[in-house]
Amino acid sequence: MENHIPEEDIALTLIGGMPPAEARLTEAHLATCARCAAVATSYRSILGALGAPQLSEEARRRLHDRLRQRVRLRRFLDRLLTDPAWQVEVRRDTRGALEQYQIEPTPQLVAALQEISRVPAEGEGQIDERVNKLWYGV
Amino acid sequence: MTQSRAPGPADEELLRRCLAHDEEAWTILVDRYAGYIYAIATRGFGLAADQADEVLQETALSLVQHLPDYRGSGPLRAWIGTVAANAARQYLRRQKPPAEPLEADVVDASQEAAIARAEEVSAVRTALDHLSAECRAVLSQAFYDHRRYAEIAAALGIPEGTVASRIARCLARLRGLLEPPP
Repeated sequence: MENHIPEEDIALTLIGGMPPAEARLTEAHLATCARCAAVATSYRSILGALGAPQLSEEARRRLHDRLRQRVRLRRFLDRLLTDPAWQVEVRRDTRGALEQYQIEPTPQLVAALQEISRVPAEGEGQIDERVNKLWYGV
Repeated sequence: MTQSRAPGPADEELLRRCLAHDEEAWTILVDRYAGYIYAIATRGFGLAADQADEVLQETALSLVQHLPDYRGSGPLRAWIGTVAANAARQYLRRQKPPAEPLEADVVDASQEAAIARAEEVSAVRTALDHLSAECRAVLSQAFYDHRRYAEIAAALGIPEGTVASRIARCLARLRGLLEPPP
């Protein structure tokens, strides 16, 4: 029966925790034993996965902020498409309307909304088209 | 491989609420898949942490735009994986002048391979949650917090000389969860 290296010793070798002389013996064995080499490959894969970069808390916060802004903009635009009184309000005070939804009034967004709000009431199709353009373009 | 259902509302419930533009539901949904999306960008496409952050943000915003297109014909996770892989590919295209070929590993990174590598990361993280508190602590500190053995020993109150062997023992348990013996 062929001798195999205990799994933990293979892991210990791969993380550099084995004394040099024993590590050399392990590595020599791995070069000739397919079964132990497969175990080592499996550990390398696990170590690679454990070493993958992690999402930082700061990145997660930025993500949440942008996500909230986008969801609010969708609600804002849905109302703009269906509520004539809201269209009047957006035309009257675009920045104030955005603030009601806690949306940051960037110059591009304010300009795009002002353009949409200038579309005459009978141009409903045009409003849909421009709102879609704004939504997919932001 | 170890799989467990994420805590909190089921995906179907979250989808319904997300389609109604519920901010909290969106936050939960994106948090649930953020690690997976991030792993697709880093492990799948070899992006650095700051690049993966951008891909994650673009993927999340793309999900908000395109969720109404999800028909539910396949698992949500697979659909999100596809959106993330597309975002990573677009990111790479933007970074490279068109005439300059991408590195071989990027060119060869088929979507399936990229997602498979990301799944490994997810599976390992899920399996980690099923280990004992002792093993979770030592592996997290070694691999996620990148602490030195002396720091881990001090934090866990164990001799420094036993840290490596404890890591190896816990890695063996982790492997046992990922690849149960036949």
